[in-house]
Amino acid sequence: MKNIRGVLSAAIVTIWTIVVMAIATEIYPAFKAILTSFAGQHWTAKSTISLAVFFVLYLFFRSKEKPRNILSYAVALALSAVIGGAVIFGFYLWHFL
Amino acid sequence: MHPLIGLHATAGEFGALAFLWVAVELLNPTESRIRRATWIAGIGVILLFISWIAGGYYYLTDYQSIVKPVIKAGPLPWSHSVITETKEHIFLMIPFLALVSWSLVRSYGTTLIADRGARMSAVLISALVVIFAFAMAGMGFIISSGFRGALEATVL
Repeated sequence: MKNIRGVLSAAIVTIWTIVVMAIATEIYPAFKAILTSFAGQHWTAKSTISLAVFFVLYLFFRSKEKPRNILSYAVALALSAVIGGAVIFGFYLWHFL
Repeated sequence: MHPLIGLHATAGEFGALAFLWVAVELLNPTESRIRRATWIAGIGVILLFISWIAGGYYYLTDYQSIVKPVIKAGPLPWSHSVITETKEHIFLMIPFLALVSWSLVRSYGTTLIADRGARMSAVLISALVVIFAFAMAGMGFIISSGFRGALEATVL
């Protein structure tokens, strides 16, 4: 995977897809049922979907030109992962309490 | 004790150490260090995918049917409801971060020596892989403690 713009953009969207799926399965039982019927278990479906989203978006975003602001892309990815992780933890904490 | 947990944890921790190695190599890169970092990042990606598959298989087979009900009935039910639920989702992010780090090192190659932005990007994402992977290990400890606490409450 040498098309760096594609990899970074795909990773950012994939992370937010994981966050949305994590919360949506708890809020909307119908969504959880769809995922379960798709792959037998909702976690398997989330794994498969996240892989599919990443590779499809990689093909969609790929460009032979390297981005000039590569560090901005990397910071956006790092912030997405940290904030996304905090949102997931906060949601499950709130859900438990 | 379950062999899949051993494989999951071992592959995950060695994957984390691989990206720590990559980050250190890139702090002061030379041609040979970048070549080494490319190989190590590739191995790290493979290890983290192995960890994903092993952990996922265990989660779907043994954890859901055996471990989860015990934890939820024990004195630390939050170790499943908060920690496992968080871990199973944040864990999904790590292989993608690892792929990004490997792609950065492969794509830029020796230009990382002069391109500070690309180099700092690779170091940042590699460091994030390390932090997230060790956070998973910490969460694994809490989940194991939840299970042990539930068993101790039954036996003692």
